Amino acid sequence: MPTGIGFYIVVFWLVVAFLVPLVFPIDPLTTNPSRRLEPPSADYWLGTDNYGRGILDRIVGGAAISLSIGAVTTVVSAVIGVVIGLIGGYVKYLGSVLMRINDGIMAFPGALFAIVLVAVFGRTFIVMVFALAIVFIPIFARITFGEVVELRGASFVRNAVSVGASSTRIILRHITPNLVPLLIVQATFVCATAITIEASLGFIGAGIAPPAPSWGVMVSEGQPYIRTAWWTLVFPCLAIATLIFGMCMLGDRVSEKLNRPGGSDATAV
Amino acid sequence: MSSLLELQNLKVEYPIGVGSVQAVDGVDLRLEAGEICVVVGESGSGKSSLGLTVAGLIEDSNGRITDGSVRFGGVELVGLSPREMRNYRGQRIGMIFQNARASLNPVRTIGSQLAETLQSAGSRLTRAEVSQRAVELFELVGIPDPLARLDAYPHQLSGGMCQRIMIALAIAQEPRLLIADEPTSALDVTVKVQILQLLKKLNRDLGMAMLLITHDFGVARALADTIAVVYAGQIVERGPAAQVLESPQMPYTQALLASIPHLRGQATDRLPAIAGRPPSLVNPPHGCRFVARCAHVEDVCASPAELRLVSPQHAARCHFPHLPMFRPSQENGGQR
Repeated sequence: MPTGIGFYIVVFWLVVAFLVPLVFPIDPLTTNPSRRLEPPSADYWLGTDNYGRGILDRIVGGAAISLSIGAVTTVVSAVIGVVIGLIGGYVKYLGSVLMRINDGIMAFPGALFAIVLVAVFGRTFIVMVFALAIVFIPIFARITFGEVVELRGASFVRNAVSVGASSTRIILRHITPNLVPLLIVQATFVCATAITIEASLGFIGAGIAPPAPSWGVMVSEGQPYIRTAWWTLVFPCLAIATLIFGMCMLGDRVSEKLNRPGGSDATAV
Repeated sequence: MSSLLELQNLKVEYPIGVGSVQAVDGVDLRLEAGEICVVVGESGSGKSSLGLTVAGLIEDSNGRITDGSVRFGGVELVGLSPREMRNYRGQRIGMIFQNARASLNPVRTIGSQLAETLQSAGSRLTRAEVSQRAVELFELVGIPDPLARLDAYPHQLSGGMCQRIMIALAIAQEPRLLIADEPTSALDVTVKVQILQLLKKLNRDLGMAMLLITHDFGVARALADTIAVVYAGQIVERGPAAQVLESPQMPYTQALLASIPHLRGQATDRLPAIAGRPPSLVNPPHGCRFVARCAHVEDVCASPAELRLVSPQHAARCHFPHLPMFRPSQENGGQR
């Protein structure tokens, strides 16, 4: 099992996001105008924001949003992307068509594309995941395609053909299991990138609508108070930074364990 | 009664940008049930393409059959749809490859790969029957402790063990013909002998015909009923093993046999080698293809040589069969 610092950081944030709220009363939403912009204290460990909400509560609430968006986006885009890549890689005459469409979608800057979709369809979780998935599907499709093309010529695939295996069987039983290591590595980077984009969109006001405690929104809201109430800005930034750092470290570690050359064959946006 | 396998004027080429490589150029070959035919040739002679074609795998290797026929048990295989061809692969024609470990799926246990092959024949075997059959097969190919091996991954096994497993996979559906492409080339000498003995045993006990492809006359000597020597995409000599080995008629075969090291030779002898290289298969020479490297060239050699019988079952593609055994030495080996 690949461990290392990244693994522990990611586990830490998973615990914070999904276990802490079950044990401690977390209230990221209720405003308290009488206690605005308080510095860290025994009541509010990380201080309060401009509306008197606890920074800690909002970070914990935001962790769940960030991780859910990262995870759901990764799963959705991986499933769709892998199916496209498998079909394109195995069915020769479809390959170039699918990959050119793929290139077309990839030509759009990811974040910009997401902004447009969110602007059109609204600032909800589902739209967010959908917008991010469109950004990441081509990445999964492309790496799957490349790997399938390579595996299609592998000796064990030829051997499977020689014992009479059908195309379906070769795709599902021989090629797909061999994609897993590559996909795991790719997934960690896509997850980290999805979380970053979500935070970025929150920051510029195109993320999940307030008052939901998105980290990017928190950074945006804390920005004016950098001189007077630094905790409103610094702690959400630290949260984003540590989570992304942890995920990238985890991805590197996994990729090392799986004997892939660095994280270099995982594509980040 | 037709032969088990009958190749007629088989031509296979690989398209390359402009033009093509004529890897197999008019091969005629016949293989009876239960017979072992060894195809001997050097790298690039087209011997592997020949094996892949018979197994119906040539299209997967980017080659294409341009002419000729492959009849298996009287049925023409050239032109069968992929779906029809699948009924032959594994069930009637098995194939094993050179690099056994690479030929096994690295991320799945060998038990699951074998079980899959056993079930792909459309047989409705229960789980217990599958594992029982797997154990039987492993015992047949000489894998010790078969039950424990079912859960192993290819990287946990030695090269010889992987080769045995691949043989087990290939014979799982009891094909009547086993094509073995350099089955022992990646193995060390002791394991190689064991694998050859195993192939011989399978041939004897199961009556499985074999088309063995190798560059190694030692393999031919050990197993062959008949030998076909391939050069530049053509069969240049063909006949019963003893005749080909004892009285080779084609200068190429003679030179190949002469270049095998002997234990009893003088230590100072240099091993004879055939000078030059095989001709390009993109634009093969019009005449005899060995002409540039042959020691007996005369004017007639510029015209194509036919495969002619030199004795009832023994044929050679040479304008001058029956020449005395040619033994290249340092003096004449490099000249023409």
